[in-house]
Amino acid sequence: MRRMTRLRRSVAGAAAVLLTSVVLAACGEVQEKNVSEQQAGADLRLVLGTKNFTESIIMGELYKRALEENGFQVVLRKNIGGTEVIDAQLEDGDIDAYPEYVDLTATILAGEDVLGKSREEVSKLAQDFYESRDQVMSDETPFGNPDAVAVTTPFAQNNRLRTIEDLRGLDEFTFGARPEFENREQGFAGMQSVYRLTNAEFVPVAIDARFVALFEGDVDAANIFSTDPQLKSGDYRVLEDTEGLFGYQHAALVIGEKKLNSLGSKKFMGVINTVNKQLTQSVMIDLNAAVDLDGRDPADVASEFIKQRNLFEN
Amino acid sequence: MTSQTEVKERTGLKAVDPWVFLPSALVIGAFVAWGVLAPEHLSATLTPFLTWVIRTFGWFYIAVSFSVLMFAIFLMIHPWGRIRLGADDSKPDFRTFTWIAMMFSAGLGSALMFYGVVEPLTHWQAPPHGLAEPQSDEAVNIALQFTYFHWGFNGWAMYAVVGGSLAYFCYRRGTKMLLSSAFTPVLGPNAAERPMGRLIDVLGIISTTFGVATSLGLNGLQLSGGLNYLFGTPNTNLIAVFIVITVTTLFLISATTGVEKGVSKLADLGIFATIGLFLFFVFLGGATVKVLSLMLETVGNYMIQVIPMSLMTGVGDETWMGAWTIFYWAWWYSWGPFVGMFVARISRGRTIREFILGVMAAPTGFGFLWFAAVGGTAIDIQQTGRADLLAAVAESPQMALFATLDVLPVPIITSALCVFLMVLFFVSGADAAAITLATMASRGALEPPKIVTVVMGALFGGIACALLLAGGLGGLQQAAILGSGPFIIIACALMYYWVKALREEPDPRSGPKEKLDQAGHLVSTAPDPVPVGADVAESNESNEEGAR
Repeated sequence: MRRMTRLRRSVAGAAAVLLTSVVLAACGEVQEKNVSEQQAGADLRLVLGTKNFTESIIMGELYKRALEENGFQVVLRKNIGGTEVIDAQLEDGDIDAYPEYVDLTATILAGEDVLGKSREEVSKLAQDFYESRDQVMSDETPFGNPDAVAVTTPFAQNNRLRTIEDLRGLDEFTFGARPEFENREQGFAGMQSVYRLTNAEFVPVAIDARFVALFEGDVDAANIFSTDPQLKSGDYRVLEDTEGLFGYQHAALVIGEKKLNSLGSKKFMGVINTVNKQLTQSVMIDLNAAVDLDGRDPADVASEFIKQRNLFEN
Repeated sequence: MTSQTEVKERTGLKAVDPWVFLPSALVIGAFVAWGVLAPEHLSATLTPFLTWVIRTFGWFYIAVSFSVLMFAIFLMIHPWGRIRLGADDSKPDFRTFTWIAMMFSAGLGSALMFYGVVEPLTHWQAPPHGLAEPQSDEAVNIALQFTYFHWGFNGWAMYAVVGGSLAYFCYRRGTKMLLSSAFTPVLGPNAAERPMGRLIDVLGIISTTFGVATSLGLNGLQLSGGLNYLFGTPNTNLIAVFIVITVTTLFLISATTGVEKGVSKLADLGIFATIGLFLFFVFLGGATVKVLSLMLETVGNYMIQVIPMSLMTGVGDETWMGAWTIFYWAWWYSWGPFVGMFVARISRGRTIREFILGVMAAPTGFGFLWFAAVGGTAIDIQQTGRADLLAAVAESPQMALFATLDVLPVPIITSALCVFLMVLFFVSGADAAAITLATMASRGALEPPKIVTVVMGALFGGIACALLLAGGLGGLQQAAILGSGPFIIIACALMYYWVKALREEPDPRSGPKEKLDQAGHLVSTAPDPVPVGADVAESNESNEEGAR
């Protein structure tokens, strides 16, 4: 008898405690927003972001496709914005990973001065920076996409131009670039001081109009990006940056360490690095050309690339 | 003079075994408090541990899951299959349709609502083991095949082995309906009273409570999503509380009308509505021919490949295995005590062969058709660009089903039907779980006192709500999966002891063929090797004994 009463009490007590906890908990907001992440397969899900230009979007689509071939679930958020914006999203957990240019990490995010530093030194700066935030960088791509100086092929041939320094041999020349390029250290100002190009005259040109201006002869030389698809045509020659003024701008995927571990870091990074290894200068220019010049869908371009290269055939 | 109900209540609480109930309650309470007070901490603590278990013992889960499947097939083929779970002349308690419907709604119903769209679509987007190109036509086949695999024979074979051995020992050997009873050959006739036996029963209660509470919480979420879709009600705690109160009321009505009336009627209703919805997807989903062809091809492929698939350990693809197959196996095992015991209690009087075939093939068979219809339709919707369901899944898996219905005819009606089904599976699942838990806590009483059932139901209903609101559901699910570790060993032991007991049976082939002439009420001339009739009166008697 006594035991029974005690039991009944403890049962009633347990019920009361539970009821109270329910009522108490009910006062808060619903917090189980991402309960879906606790379902099966949750470990393999990630949100990938890209910046707001073609090359970054193509890289995002390449990663997405490659990861999906290997059983990862990828949600791609394209066109997020520049380094500051997308990095903030990574920090807030809105995205889990995105491809970044190593020099930008070192300068914009880590606030370091990279002028005159070697590629290894710049990479180290970026790596250390991410490490301090418990983030991890994949291997870098072979291609780099720094600012560069281009001239038309005939112009280069006539004046025997191979490097930026060779421009010094001209009597005078016009240099076209986006307006903000003029006063940057890693821009026109730097070109003048590092390469002593006192014979250059700056002409502001809209970013879309650079190749036209060059082709039409409005400017003799112009600032372009190293992976601009127009370079594919052979009408232009990129002058070598022998002093490393514009840096290297190789790309790498950045991801939080915790997320990486839950995805299985060896396999995940294996997939990313397999893709990265393929992305040489000419490959990246071709991919950009397929989207920007031929007007194709980046997702299709990426799928086709991975399929043709047979990257993940077992 | 006390009233009738009070007398009942008294026997009810006396029936509870404090040595089983109190330790379970303590452990459950501790985890729930942890989950409510520090949900993130619970999850952060368990996640690395769970990852380690899955990566280290993945092969073991696969080995056991394969063995269990082979064992079930063996029993189905062996002459032992003719042995009845009960006395030789006993008849099944439930008609076959209801029997299947009950298993379906206890073990599969709500999962079909949730995963019907999500899992096929997910595998189609990222096919396992690089077996197909993402989002291609071959990937459709692979996606459905792997979905069947994860919801198919392996899991239900385990339920069949656990449930079958329990039913055998309980109905044919007259032991109590407890996990520990199957250990009678080693622990002796009072297995349930031994510390080891009690430990096994405690583990059963804990893993059942955790598994059921998380599942109910997830159901509640999906339900709230459904109401949000239908009526634009906000997805807030107020709505969640409202859902909980409503469902608890429904559940209490169901539970107090008894096992037969409550669970079985709901289950019948649920299966009819599910079949209706299934036909809707097949014929009005906009891809009838494709879905029907897929159904044939993928189910066929699965049947042929299920055994090699069961042995796939995915060397080199460990992350995928850990996130899917092994995760699922662990999850199934955490549900083993609950569904196993539940199918045992509704299966008295069936032969072993009938039982295994029914448990393994019936709910899964319908599950396959469902996944083919719903998943196939969803993939077709994505392929034809009628809606971006991949984005919907990424955004919120709870809403994926509603996003799918939205582009099909009469979305309001079908969504309302789905909400109705979710409530129904919610209620019948809770009902079945409460009765099973009450049995476990009440020394294996087949008709546990109503008060104990109600208390159990209120307990895990409350746990589900509390964690839903505080955000600790995921953590509890991890705890459930971790708790299934010992159960995997228990499942192996169950197979061993069951065979041991079956070998003591006289060869069913040498006895009179009462099976064939059952309608003729032939009196068996074979020596009856077992005490007959583990009926309610007798098990209550043994409860009295145990209480002393």
